Amino acid sequence: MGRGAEEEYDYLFKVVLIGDSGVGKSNLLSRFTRNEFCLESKSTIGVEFATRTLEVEGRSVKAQIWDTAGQERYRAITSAYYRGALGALLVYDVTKPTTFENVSRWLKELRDHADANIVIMLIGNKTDLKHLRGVATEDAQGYAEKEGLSFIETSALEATNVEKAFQTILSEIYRIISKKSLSSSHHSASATVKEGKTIAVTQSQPSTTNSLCCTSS
Amino acid sequence: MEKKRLDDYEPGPVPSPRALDRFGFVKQDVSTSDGLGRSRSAYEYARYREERRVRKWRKMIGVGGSDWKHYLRRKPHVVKRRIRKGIPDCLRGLVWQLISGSRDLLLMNPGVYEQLVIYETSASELDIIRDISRTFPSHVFFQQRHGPGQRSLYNVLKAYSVFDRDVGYVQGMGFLAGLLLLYMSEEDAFWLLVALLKGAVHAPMEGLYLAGLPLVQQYLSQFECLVMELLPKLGEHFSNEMINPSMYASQWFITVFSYSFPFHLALRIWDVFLYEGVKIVFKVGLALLKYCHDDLVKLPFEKLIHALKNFPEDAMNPDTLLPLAYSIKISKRLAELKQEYEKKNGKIRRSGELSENPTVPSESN
Repeated sequence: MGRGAEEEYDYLFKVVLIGDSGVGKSNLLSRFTRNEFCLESKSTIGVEFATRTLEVEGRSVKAQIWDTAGQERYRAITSAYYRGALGALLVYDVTKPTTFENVSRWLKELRDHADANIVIMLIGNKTDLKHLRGVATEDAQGYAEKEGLSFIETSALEATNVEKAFQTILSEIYRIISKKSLSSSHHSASATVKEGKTIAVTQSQPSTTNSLCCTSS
Repeated sequence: MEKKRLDDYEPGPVPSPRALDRFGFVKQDVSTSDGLGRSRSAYEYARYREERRVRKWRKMIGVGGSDWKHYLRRKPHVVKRRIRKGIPDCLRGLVWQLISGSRDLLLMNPGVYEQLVIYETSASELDIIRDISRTFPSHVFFQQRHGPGQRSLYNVLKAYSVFDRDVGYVQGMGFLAGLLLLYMSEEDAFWLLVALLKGAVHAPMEGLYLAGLPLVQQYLSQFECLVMELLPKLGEHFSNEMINPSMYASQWFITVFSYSFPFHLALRIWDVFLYEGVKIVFKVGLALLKYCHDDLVKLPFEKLIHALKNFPEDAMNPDTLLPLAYSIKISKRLAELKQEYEKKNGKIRRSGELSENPTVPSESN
């Protein structure tokens, strides 16, 4: 199996999707990576994985996204996947206040298991269910500002803001990475990823992406 | 994939008739997943064989299972061989209850299930409800909102979450319960779940769902070692690509292949699983890897993960996969690996024994 031209990319960013069960993580992922939405989707058991390569600030970035089971007990398995992630999309359901209230627990979870400088974006999903809204935009916005997270509301069903959410977090990661690699002595992250394809594959593993190694040390 | 609008009316409308396979799943456009893509004469021959098999089975178990224990004592090897060939679908529900030990639990605990369903409340109720429509969403029995399928699934899971409050409800259990409910009543399905998780015949599997998912971790660790030892080239490729079994095999263990595998294959695995225990899950997992070995060793990380979650249809044909699985001998090694794991990580804490549960009379010995 050869790797075609579409496999080439300048950067590879690992991102995790977290948040309570049933908030729509898997459908956000399928909307972003395959432009699909499934009303009959099953609950996620363990972890799922998908990728998409896109333009970010003129560079091609491959987003490697890990979708995790939301139920608390699954953190025994899923928290291992936070390691090496450059970004986290923390999702709640705008119709279910408890899923918003639990956001602080997820933040703690990230502080305990993820890299300290991980970029976090808060996502309020299911805005299509207008008549059922239970979390005000301003409340979430205010909370995000207080915690230093970026924030967006999405509808995976209607494909509202999904693209924008991923674009935003990937751009943010890109800005941090490129700033750091400029200031550090080895700033050839993108070049190395581009050269050797086989190396790039090994780099795509948790905590070993080249860009990460160069920048987070 | 077909999509369905869920309405908020209760109970929901009966789903519009769509083509179903012989197990009641909505047919996907391309799949021939019921494994019946045969010519007419082949089909008739298969039917003739199936009828002959059912007759043998009926004789073996007797009316309502009355001769089962006797037969099992006299000819355990015959039973094992016949189960490995697949239990006839029309007897599956009954035989599952006999081989799992759940029938005995049911008889020893009259009225307990009803008590759990009607009078007890569970802290997991909202969690269960949230997942009900996300369990076998493409099966006709579970599709109707608040229909009989969804109601009985809720009842079984709620009853179990009360029966064993340490386990409560964990995602994945719904697929076990759902699969059982397609073959037996709510109460029977509940006791079969108890038999499995509390260990009526084989080692208890509640550790799959206890806090920390300790048994999942143990199984994954054992599985990783077995891959290394039995398929060294692939094992090395996995470790080079930094693939670990939690990325692809968690579901295999947590739902005993009922989450995403073709249903007719899942049933055949369950036949053996209930009689021989969890080692068939390891064997089937290894057989899948072995069957696809030459493709898998060539794939880089991402394609590898995809391949490990989407095995080709020919790999999932029970009549090739299962014989391959049976040929893999792991019992001794599996036990050794368990000991090694326990030495490193400590024994898995058992939650309350049956006898400690106030709602259930003792029968743990």
